[in-house]
Amino acid sequence: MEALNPQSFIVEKEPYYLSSGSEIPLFESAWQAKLPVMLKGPTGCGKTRFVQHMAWRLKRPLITVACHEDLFASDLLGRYLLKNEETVWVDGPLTQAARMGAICYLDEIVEARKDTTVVIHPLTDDRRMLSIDKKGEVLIAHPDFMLVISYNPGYQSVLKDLKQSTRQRFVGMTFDYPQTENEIRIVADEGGVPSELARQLVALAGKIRNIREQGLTEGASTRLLIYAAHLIRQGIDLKAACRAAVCLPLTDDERLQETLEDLMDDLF
Amino acid sequence: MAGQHSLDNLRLADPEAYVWVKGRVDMLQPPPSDAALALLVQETIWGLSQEAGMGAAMARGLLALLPADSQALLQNYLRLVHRAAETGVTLGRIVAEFSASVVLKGQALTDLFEKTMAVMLGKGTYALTAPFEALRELLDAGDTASGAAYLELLAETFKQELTYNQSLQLVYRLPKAVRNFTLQRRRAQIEQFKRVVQADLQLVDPFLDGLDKGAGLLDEEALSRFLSLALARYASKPDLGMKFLSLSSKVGQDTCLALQRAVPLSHVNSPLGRYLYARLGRPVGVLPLSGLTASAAPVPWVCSDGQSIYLPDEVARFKHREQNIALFKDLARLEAAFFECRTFDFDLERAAEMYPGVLGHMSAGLPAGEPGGMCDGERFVHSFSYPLLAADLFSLFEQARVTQFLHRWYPGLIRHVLPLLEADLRPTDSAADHHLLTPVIARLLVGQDFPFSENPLAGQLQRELVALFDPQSDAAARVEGSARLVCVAHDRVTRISGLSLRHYMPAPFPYGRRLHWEMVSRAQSAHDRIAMEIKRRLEARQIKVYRSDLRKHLADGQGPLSSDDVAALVLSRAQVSGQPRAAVHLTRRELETLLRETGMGGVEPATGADDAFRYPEWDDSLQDYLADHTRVREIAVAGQDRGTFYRNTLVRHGGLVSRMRRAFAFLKPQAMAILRQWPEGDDFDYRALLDYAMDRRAGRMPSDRLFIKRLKQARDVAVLLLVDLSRSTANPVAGGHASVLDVTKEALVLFCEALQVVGDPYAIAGFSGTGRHAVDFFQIKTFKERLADKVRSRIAWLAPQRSTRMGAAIRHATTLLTRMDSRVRLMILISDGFPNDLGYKSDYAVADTRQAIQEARSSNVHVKAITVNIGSDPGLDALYGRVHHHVIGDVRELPDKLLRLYGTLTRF
Repeated sequence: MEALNPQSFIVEKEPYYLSSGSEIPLFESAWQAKLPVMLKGPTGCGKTRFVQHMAWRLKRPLITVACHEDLFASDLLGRYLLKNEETVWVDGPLTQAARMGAICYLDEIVEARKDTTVVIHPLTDDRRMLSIDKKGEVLIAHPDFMLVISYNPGYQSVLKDLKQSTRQRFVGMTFDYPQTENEIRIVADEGGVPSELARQLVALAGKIRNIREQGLTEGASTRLLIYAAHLIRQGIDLKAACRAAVCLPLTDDERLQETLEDLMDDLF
Repeated sequence: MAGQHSLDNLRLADPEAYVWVKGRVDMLQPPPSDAALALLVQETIWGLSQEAGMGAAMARGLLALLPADSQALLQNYLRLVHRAAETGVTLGRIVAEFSASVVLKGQALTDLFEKTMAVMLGKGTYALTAPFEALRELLDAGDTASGAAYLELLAETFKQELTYNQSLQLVYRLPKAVRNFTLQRRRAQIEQFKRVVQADLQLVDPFLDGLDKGAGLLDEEALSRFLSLALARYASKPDLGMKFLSLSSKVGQDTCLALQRAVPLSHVNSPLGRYLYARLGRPVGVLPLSGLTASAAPVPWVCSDGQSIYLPDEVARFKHREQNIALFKDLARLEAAFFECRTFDFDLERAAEMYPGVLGHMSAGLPAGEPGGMCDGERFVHSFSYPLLAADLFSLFEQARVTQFLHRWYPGLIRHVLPLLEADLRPTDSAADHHLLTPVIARLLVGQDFPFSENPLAGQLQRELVALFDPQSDAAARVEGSARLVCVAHDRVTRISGLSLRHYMPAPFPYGRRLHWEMVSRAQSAHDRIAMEIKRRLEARQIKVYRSDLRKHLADGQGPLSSDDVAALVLSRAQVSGQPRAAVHLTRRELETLLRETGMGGVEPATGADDAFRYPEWDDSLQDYLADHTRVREIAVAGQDRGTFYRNTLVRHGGLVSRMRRAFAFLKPQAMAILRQWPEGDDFDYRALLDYAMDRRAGRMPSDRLFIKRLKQARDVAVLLLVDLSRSTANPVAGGHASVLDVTKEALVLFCEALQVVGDPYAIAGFSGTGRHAVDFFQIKTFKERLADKVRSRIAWLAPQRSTRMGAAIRHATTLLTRMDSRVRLMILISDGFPNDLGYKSDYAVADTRQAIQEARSSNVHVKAITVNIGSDPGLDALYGRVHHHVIGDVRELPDKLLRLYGTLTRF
């Protein structure tokens, strides 16, 4: 297979990201120091967007892998495929990234099988290398290569926890839902709605997050708010949009839905 | 003197009775006439001569009649008693005891009483006492209409042919039922009860059950219709009719719900609590108005004290149930705005600093020193020459401010609620009768163009008051701003002569919504005292903070104050008063000393000296957790029978066991699943490669599914079986000698066998206990233990224990389950009814259990419940969630059903 063009993984346009603290300089320093980074935070609070933004800032290609429970080591490293009646080796996303000096982002790493996560270990300490058994190659990572993982600690507690041996190789950064004023700006900019409307959506989310412990596993994420804003921009009625984009995805419990409806009734 | 003379006669006859009667007579106001007193003594002595008890009863009866000062009533009473005494002393005593209350209510009731008594005597004098006690209670409470209906009911019941047992049962059943009827609907319910009795005495129990379960909420017309429907059903199919009436059939429940109008607070309590938590971000209690102490003026609809919102026990204002629920919600929604706008954090000192004018207007100035149990709001209001007027004005301007806030932040709420408020304020009478403030209220709170008074002075004043409130004023305005308006408005109103303020009546706010500062005082007093103390000590160190800020900090439960907190509070004060911010020079040490002196902080958390586990409990009325409220003890069980029971059970259920083993063997997955012809994988699938080559040769498009994928498949399920060991599990199973628990134990045996086949980790535990400090958690098998004889004999050991505090047991089981790192964690709860323990009853217990289940679900534990030995009950849906519970009416099906259920739940 022809060498992959790193250019195709470059983030061309600046992804919208509103900083709410010192996460940007911290990430840049980690990149300079060649340290891998671990992002923690609830779903839909902007972890993936942050990585995209940083790839753009650092002008590095970005390779994203969404982890799932059937993710094998070979899915990351690469495998042999058939080509013109021959078997050829094709690099997996992690190998590609290590070769081209990209940022490799393993999204929701806890979803991957525990034995799979082990292959990243040699890449994440000072060796910065990847051993590809099947091919008999030991790949030393490109100096610009960086590994970023993300996971959501609140969710599926005991089982979906990272092993200490994995955790302790990363620089940790915590993400949470943005502060009200920032979130309003984000929803307004991303969702393309007036900030007054964005404020209402954010107010709704704030109230919903108050009852996170009362049966909801997670509060309403910023992403859901942006979805709602998109629907509203398409001409969907305010309440219907919130119901579809915010309330229904959150829970199946009728009692909780009733409370969510009441909150919507207040605001809109 | 003649009176004293006759009393002396009594002393001679019976010294004991004399003391009692003399005491009562002395308390009578006005004192009885000598003639009346002589009659009292003479008749009491006559009664005593018949029988000691009768004399006392007559004295009581006559004393009750004396204040009415009517010779006719006395004669009427004596006629009844004497006639009864002719039949026998027992009857005489009963009539003497109970007829005074009847006679007081007039001739018609007395006639009815006599007639009913004649009917009841047909059964014997034993039938009289218990029913008449209830009658006296009704009449003494002033409910004559119910009393009359009740007498008719009694006559109707006891004129029927009854066996002695039947009659004896009804003698106690009827009065008990009538006492339990809701006050507002008592008469109507008794009337309908009469219809039931006329139709068939068989229906009495179903009818009373039905009233308990929800038919009691129907109003007169609806109940009558419901009963007609039930009677029609009963006529054609007696069985169905009874189920319908007792609300144990779905049709019955649906019909009743459709007819229902009134909504009790208990139905909306927890959604309201959750809503308030969501909106305010902190727990706010939802409590019934009836729980308020009687000292305050009656509150018609809603009020709050800064910690809880009080709502009516029941709402039946509108025709439809949904509208009434909506009214509950709307009232709570409006009231919540006071909390958001920090109305109850009113601080006089801050008011004085923000608006120096406020001080000048308070006649006595700012009362210094100890607040004397009054909150600042109450002190402020009472400092005016017309406190009632000031209180109204404060309510008015504060509500105007809050309404403005709602307009800005909750447009949806305002749209909802304004029509409601408007309807309550609609001008009904001529304008002259209106309260001075009505047009102002209408304009400021509801935005309604209510006509101003035709009296030029009053009209002008009303216009001025409306103009006083500037909706465009600073958005961040605080409650202190409203206080300033009160000062100005109070001045203007009092300055205008011609308006009599001496007889000022409180203004009619829509739904009676006003600020109840006296309630706020009561609710805040504890925190207020501590806040005052801290403030005083901080001031001694030249640190200035507002007491309301301190109090809020304490009340919000943000924990002990830290140096940073104090700094933040000082800053907030500096911003208000515009003074430069003083640096807080307070070391941690100093602060700690200071707080310890005031009784705050320095409190060590109680160390768990015993090996018990402590869990919080959810208090539904507070809508908050009670921390460390329950104590769960893990109890190791030592069985003695070496597995005999276990083996016998296996033998007895031989057929089921072998069927079950086969079925569960299929649930067990193979260790490694191989997926062939997969689009990706670790190895080539050579068969697919051959096909690929052939296809290419033949010029066909080859498939790209060339790989083998190996998946390690493990059933990753951990299950905990939690068994209710309450006393009621000793009840026998229908048609057998075994108890509910015996059958449950057999089910446990089969369950163990099945789980051994599948290989899922499992644990079994039982729970029971008495009171919140002694919840017993019996470990039958832990996850780690192997199924050995030790475990087998523990199953045999299980025996009914005491009560069921379900919430605590579920919390402990959840803790145990969350330690398992399985992908699916399952808790199966086997119970024979609803949670019940000391101080853990009905709604409270259900709410806590539900909360514990929600917590379990939040930590990814699936909770499924099996309820045995009771009929389907809608309450179970509320308790466990609609799709999460199974009812097994006949517990004998449990062994089979438990396995099936487990199989279904954990199938791939």
